[in-house]
Amino acid sequence: MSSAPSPISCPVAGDLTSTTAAAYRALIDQKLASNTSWSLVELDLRASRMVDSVGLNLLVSVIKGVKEKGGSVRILIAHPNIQRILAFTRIDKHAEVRMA
Amino acid sequence: MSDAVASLRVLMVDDDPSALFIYKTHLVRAGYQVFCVPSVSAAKQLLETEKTETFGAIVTDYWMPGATGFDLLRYVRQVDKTLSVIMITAEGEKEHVALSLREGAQNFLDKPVSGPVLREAAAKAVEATQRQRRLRATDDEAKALGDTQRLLLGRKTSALEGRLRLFSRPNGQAGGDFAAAYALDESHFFVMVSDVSGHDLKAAYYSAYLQGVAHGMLDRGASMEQVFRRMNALLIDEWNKGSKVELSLSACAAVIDLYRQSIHILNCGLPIPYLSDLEGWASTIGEAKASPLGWFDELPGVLNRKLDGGLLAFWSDGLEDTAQHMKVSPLALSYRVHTRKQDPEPLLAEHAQDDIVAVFIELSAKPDAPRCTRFPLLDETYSGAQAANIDEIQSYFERSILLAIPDLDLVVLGDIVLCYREALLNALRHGCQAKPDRFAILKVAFDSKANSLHILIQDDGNGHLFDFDTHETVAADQLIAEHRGLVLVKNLASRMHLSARGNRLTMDFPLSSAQPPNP
Repeated sequence: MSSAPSPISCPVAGDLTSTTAAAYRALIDQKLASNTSWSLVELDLRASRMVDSVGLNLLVSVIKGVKEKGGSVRILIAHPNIQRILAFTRIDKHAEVRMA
Repeated sequence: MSDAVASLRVLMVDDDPSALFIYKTHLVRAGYQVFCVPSVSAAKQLLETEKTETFGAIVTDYWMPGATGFDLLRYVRQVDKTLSVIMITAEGEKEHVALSLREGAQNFLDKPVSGPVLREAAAKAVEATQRQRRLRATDDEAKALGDTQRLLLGRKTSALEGRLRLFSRPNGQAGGDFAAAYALDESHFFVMVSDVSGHDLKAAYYSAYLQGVAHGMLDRGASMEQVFRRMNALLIDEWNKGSKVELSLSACAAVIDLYRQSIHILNCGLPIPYLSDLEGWASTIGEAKASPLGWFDELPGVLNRKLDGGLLAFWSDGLEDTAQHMKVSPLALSYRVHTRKQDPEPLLAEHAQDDIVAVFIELSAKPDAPRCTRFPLLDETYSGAQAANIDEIQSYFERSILLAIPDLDLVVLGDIVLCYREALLNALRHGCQAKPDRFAILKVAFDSKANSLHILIQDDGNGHLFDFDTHETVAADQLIAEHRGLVLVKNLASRMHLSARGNRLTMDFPLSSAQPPNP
């Protein structure tokens, strides 16, 4: 019996903002390119306290890219502010958001 | 009893009568009046009866039945820190020696103690006591001067009681910073904050002298300009003759007409004052700092402004320097020290290097009019090019808000900081097009009655109109990137308002710990 492929995890070490988004974008792209067998991408934002509009745009961009390739995205968060933002921007309708 | 007599009295404590006899003989020969007791309890009793200040030194054995010389040392340190104690120990008792010295013993002597060694040690101990007592006397006088200065400050600002908040913190016991308020008539007030160069007792003396000059002249009907000209002439002609500049006075004064709601300000060398309106939006009055009094003959012109029932805030250099050291807005620091929601002293003890005097004056037209409840916390201008420094700017904002409102819920603060960042970046990148010669202004006010924070961000760009209902839905459903920043602001602030074609944005945030409303 074959087990489901484990999710590919992309940790974000701090806030996801206009000043950090480009660097995380490069890291995430590199991670996805180095492993093509993924079907679930896990964006780990548990160390983030803030996600601004540029950070949200990065999340949206990853969600769209992963969906185009038939995969899905899970976002791990720990901060209630981020949970609210993902709710009213309806990003939680396009990715699984898990408070961890 | 005079110090000279006290210095000759030495208390000797030892349970060995023969040792006491020998020590006493050595010291009496050297001219001391020696009191001998056989135990620590007897020593304490004698010190209570005769008073510690009548003795110049104590010489005590370490090991005695009932209590040790160390116990006596600790007692003496509690009742009179100036009185020197010499500990006599047996050779090899290094740990007792170390302990005694740490606790403040002036010296220690190994047994057996010879006459010359005891006499030399006693002489040094008495000298140390005299030195400590002179220092204490000077400190007591400085404290008394500081108390008088604080009392005077309270009296000198009572003319605007109920309207004026005063904060004063000399860096030492007394300082050169001062504030005074005089009622010229029912609706006219003269308020002055001044800072004499230096922050020692000499500065406190000069400060009191110059305030007296101002008071006397105002009593005789002199104008603000006449007072400043007189003080400038006094400093130049009497203290700073020729090219020598011994003394200068930075001073900022305001004549406030509450009835006509106008203010006239003359600022010579103090940080630029702030005037806020009823919304709590603050603006500076004047631009660059002028020279202090005592440097040049010329004085800057008087600045005139209309009032809008808000607040006037000004302070001495000490507050501005402290804010700079803490990397916070001086307005936020001023609010914190005036409101004293939490004691600001630990912060000031760490960061303040100079005397501080700061005043907040409430400017409503009539005594029974509703008082201004909005206090300005920030008034900043950023160029478009500073968009690259947004993290640093955000930290400055966050530190300033937490300083002013230390009990602010961090979840609420997180939302406010995010909206601030989004709105300011939008103004700098789009409104100012990231150009160094285009500017955005930021103002923040705290409403103490409603417990809410208010932010204004305005840029000088061409503006842009937004249709939120359309943009928000499209951005969410089709996952497009545009306008997401303003969507965040609209959802996280309790109210946002765009005006001037989108160039001016105001946001309101309730600060209760209750969760902000979800969409």
